[in-house]
Amino acid sequence: MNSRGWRVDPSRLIITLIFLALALVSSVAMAATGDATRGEQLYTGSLAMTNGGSPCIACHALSGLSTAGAANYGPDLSGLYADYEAEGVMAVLESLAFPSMEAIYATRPLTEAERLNLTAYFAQVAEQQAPPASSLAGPILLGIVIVFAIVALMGLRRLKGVRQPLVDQVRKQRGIKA
Amino acid sequence: MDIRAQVSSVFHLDKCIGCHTCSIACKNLWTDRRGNEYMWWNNVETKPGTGYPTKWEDQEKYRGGWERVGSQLRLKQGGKASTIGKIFHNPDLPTMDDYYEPFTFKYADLTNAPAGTDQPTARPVSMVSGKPMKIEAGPNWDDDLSGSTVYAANDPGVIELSEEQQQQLFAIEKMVMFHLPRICNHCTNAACVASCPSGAIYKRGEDGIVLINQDKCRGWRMCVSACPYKKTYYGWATGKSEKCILCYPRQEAGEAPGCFHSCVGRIRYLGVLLYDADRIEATAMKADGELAAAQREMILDPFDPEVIKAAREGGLADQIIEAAQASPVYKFVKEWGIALPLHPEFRTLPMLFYVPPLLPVLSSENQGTQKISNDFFTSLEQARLPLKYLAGMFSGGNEEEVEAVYRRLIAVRIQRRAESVGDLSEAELLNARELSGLDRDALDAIFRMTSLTRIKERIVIPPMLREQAIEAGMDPEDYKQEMGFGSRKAPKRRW
Repeated sequence: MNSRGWRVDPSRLIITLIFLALALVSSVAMAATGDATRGEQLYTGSLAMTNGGSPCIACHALSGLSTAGAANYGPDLSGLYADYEAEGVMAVLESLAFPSMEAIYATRPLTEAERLNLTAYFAQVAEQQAPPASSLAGPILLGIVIVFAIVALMGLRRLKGVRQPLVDQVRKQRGIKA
Repeated sequence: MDIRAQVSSVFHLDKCIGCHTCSIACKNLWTDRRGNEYMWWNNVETKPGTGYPTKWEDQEKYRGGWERVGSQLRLKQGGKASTIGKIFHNPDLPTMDDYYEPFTFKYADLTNAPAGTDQPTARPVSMVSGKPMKIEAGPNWDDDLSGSTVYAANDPGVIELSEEQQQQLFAIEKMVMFHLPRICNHCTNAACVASCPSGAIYKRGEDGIVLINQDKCRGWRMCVSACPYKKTYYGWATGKSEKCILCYPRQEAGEAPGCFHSCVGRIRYLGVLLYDADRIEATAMKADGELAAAQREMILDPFDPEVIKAAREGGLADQIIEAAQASPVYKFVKEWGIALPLHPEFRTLPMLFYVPPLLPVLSSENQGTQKISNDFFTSLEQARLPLKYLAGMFSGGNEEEVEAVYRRLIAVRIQRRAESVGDLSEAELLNARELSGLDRDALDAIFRMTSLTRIKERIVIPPMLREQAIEAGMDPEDYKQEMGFGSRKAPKRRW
């Protein structure tokens, strides 16, 4: 092989082009057949990925899943379909060439059927315009504040020392600073 | 009648010189370990004073002891539900500052310091953190500082007094103080036992000594707040609570407890009392002023044939009954009636009794000659410590109770003075005797017991009959072969 040129083996190019065309055709043909229900199961992890990749919900937020879908390690995927359409989504799902995702999916790629199902699901989500996933952070924070407030209120009754106040009292009477 | 035996004691406060030998003996025997530095199972306080921990008598702060709620007796810190509610956060515990932060001195600096122009000094360091500290409190910080505006003036008993009485108490040249040695009272209605969520505290059936099982203790510290005398302590190194064990290992070997044995003033008397356990609750329900008398009622006459019969039926050994008959405590509390429990109003029925101090002689100066005041021996009305103060300590506020004790103590002194000096009239002697309600022999016996007796008469240790106690649980032969010196497991939680 010539290592420095861009010269491409014509036969390879043709095969690739044919393959791409086939893929495009088949994808367009099968897009209608993607199952959004199965896509949701794949997204939420109730159905395992064939190659063992982790479900999307682990890192990404998605509207319509309420607090369960409020993960924020990766970006929110609610607008994914609106932004990239079916082709874009399929292409992204195929390579998943993001540094943190590559580590997982390079060896555990999504299968064709999985990609289709997920794309169909994203399409469905985009149509539904469901309320955005709400994070639990607020309620949890409120809960913690309430617990601390209760403990602090209980602590008000606590015996806070007997001897020191006696000494302080006398010092105050005599105008001595501690 | 459910007759039980109780190893109990009398402390004669007139004889206490406040030397703290008892405290040191106890510390060296039991509490010189890490985590126990601040504990004084035996401590000596100065009265008037706030004591150790500060203001321990003030149960509005520490919430120890029992209170009457309707016809029920309830722990002042709350019942079982309340205990569970605050099991991780007991709000009524004394802080380290209320006991005192234990300290030592860097003695090594005295010899190891490099040569310089100044004398080397041993700086005080905390025994908890190891850092240099300013010593601001100790287990008897108000020692002999009676009249201090911080400690004596805040004595819960002093606060109860009228303005006039307080001024009289702290008047210059009339100022008065006495010492109050304290150990665990080994109460018959112990609040610590009732409060323990783990059931680790128990009162030994055979001798009534209250102990904390170190294997069962989980360190919840409910006993620390429940004990109104603040005589259970939390050991932060073992994570367990500890308290005075009345030196039961020494007693089982026939020796007097450490503090009793070492007492320089020979103020401590020990002996068995027989009491009726069926009457505990009814006794503890009495009104404050009646508690001391009711507790005396609960203690039974070991010479009464009926009591002896019931005691035998209840399983008490003859040796114990004999020990109860020889008990000096019985004489002090019942026969002579000159020993009273400390703060009976806490309703724990303490089994350590005190002979209240007959106040020091007050001299008056007249034209350069010192003269002991004339009516010192006969006039209780001019007592230097108000009776109200003493009644608040020893009889739940019942001044008649304390006065009766003083009439007897005064009668002893008058009788001895009449005999040895002979400057008092017969009429005065008879009058004192009549007021005391005791005859010549009884007064002589009090004199003898308080001044002439040897240790075997003052401290009558009953045979502890370990073989019988062991037999109740397992075959003594097996015990001998299997248990050796007993079983002891290291506590699981350590710091």
